[in-house]
Amino acid sequence: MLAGLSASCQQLPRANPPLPVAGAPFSLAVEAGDTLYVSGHLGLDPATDKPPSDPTQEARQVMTAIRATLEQHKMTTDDLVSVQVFCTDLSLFNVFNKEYVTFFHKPYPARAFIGVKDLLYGARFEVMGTAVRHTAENKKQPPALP
Amino acid sequence: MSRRYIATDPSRPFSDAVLIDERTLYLSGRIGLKPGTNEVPGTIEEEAHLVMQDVRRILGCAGMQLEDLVFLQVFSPDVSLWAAFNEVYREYFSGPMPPRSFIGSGALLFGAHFELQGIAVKDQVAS
Repeated sequence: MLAGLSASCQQLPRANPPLPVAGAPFSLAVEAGDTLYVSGHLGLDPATDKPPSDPTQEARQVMTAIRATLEQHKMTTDDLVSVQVFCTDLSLFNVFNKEYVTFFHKPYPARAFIGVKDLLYGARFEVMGTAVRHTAENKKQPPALP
Repeated sequence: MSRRYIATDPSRPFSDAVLIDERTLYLSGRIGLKPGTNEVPGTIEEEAHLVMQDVRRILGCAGMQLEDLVFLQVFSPDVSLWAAFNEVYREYFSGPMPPRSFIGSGALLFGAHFELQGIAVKDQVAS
């Protein structure tokens, strides 16, 4: 793939290589400078490739998967600045939020919560986002309100 | 290296926007609710105005304007509203408009017809 890129593209600063996913046409995350672009993650049971029957468990699982990808880039969930949640059932909004907030220190990232018709593998939630390195340590400062 | 969180309602599990290094603003998904309520207004046109005004308000919290958007996603459960949305949308821009997608979604929170999420960059290099 790199052969097709111009020389200047190959010199793009990148602290870590993208995380490949076996057999899938995308990376789990790609780092460009201080910014990490994280693919859509699902909260499947690794043993069955199916979502857990309990939506609470699935919400926890998908956020755990996001955290694992961030950790591979030496980042944490508190480095996330923007998140998109796609959900097949909006009545699970509060169920999702209850698990979601346990993965962060305040203040939270910007976020959109979007209802969709279907997700792969019958998942109820798909989460993707953007993280910026050193955001977590900035949270130690008091947040500025408008 | 700075991070500024714009959170007009701290009880929510998200910030309205996050400003990185006083330059790049990541907005949360915005919905055109009637001010002070969790209800969408009676007409599509009014809702489109409200969501655009809400996006403009959050940009304003960071000292930015609609022209600073560099990326915008519009989610709508009904793509037949595309033209009606565009008619209102155009009124908010005088110059070039940002790259944008318009995505057919499932239902949106509060029965909204539009949810907008975008990224803005301050001090774009003048052409």
